[in-house]
Amino acid sequence: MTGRQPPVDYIARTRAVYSSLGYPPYRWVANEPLASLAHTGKPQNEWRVGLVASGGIYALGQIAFHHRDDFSYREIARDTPVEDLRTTHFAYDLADSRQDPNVVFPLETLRDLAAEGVIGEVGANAYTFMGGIYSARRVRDVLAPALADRLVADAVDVALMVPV
Amino acid sequence: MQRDVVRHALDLIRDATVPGTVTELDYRWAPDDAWKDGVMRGDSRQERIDTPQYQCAEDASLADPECPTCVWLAPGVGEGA
Repeated sequence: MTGRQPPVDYIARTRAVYSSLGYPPYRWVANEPLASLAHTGKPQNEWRVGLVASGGIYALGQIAFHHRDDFSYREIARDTPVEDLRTTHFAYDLADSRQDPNVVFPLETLRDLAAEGVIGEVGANAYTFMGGIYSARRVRDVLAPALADRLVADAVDVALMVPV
Repeated sequence: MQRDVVRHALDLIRDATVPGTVTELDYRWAPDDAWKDGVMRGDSRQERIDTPQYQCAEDASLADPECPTCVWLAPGVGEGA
């Protein structure tokens, strides 16, 4: 079938895949209530923007992520050349991210927007981790607070979260 | 396109008035939607190996074993290693 289709029904297909593998029904994480909305009070062109991405990005010289519930993170300096960025992940097609890491980690894009004056600057460091961690509790109680602490320490005004 | 997508995301952060706001952008992944037929029609995940998985072998040889920018977190309270 070609032409326009409705959005992919990921929930139904995830359930079907898990069922076909003999797993119990997939349990979706529900984070309630939603976090409250807070605005910076600054114009966008003064924002210091943080970047957090779950696509398994690491920089040359760093230890790569492993693929089995790795809940470590990597600190990547904002001036890291794109040529030094790498991706590893067990659950998405890496062909495009290895050709252009900006598709999962738009660090260079943010640098360009800062140079154009759209935002003030990029946070001193970006943070990356390995998505597909099966323990939602570890993400909620350990990884997410650690990343939040780093963003606060970097004094960013907003943080752009890029999942895969 | 990447620049525009990121720009839209930043504008959403600026303009959203309620949590959970979603904005649909006028971009298509491909000229038609045939690719959707094959999404998640089976388990395409790789084996979940618990050793570092480098993009290329050279990366492993260049990795700093002390890596000060690699942050390992202790398990949460009540969890095992």
